Amino acid sequence: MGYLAAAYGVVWAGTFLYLVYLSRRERALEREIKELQARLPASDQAQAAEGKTSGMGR
Amino acid sequence: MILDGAAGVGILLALFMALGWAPTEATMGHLQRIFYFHVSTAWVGFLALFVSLVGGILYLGQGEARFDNLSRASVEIGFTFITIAILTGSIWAKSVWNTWWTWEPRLTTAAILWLIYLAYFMLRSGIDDPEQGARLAAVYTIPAFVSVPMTFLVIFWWRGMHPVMGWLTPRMLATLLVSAGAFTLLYLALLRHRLRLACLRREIASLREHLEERGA
Repeated sequence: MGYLAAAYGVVWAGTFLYLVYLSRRERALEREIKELQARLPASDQAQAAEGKTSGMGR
Repeated sequence: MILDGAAGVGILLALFMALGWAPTEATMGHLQRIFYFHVSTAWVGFLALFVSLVGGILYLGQGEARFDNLSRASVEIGFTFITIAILTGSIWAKSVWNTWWTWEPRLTTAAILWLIYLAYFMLRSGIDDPEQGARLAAVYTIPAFVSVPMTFLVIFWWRGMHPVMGWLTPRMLATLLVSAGAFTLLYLALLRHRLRLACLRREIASLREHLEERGA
């Protein structure tokens, strides 16, 4: 039973670590986008926000 | 969100079936239950590497960044699942063969496959020009993929220690199919999230370009 638990532990640990990696990267990139958008002049910010909603295909 | 939920429910169902619903195998006992997730992770690994091949070929034919993103994301997920499959196989081997690793044909080709796709990441990180990197990586996916059918078929070509899937009871077969289906959903959900990272990176590049133009 110990080996069975270890094998299932590896599956969950591997999947969980990959999910954590994805979510951390996603948060870091979103933070970077906000920082870059804050540096844009006000008129460009509206344009960038519009481009984000229409062009990114989320 | 629906895909994430479906993958989560599928995995929980597969877990219940693999650990509780499927009958205990006569020879190996509970250890045989490793097989459901080992085979499913290997299946998803192979599927993801096939998608990376298709993405690579489409990128070479059409030159669109979205195909490179698909190929790269799929290699990453495929590599993760192949690593998990190798590790779960190794745990099974220790309990049944009394060794973590042996150079029998299936394990050897799996190790070669793993190293080949590890080199893919080294190739990508070693080239500064994104377009050149994408093109070379796309070309690389074609010979690299040869290792996938080789790893799958090697147990039929050479007699080794790795078990060949034999007859399964209906409950065992249903558990395996549900498990493989659940991991396929998980792959699609992960792929969607991984592709979103590529979209965010593109957005950052575009914003940076815009800021440079404005001199901000």
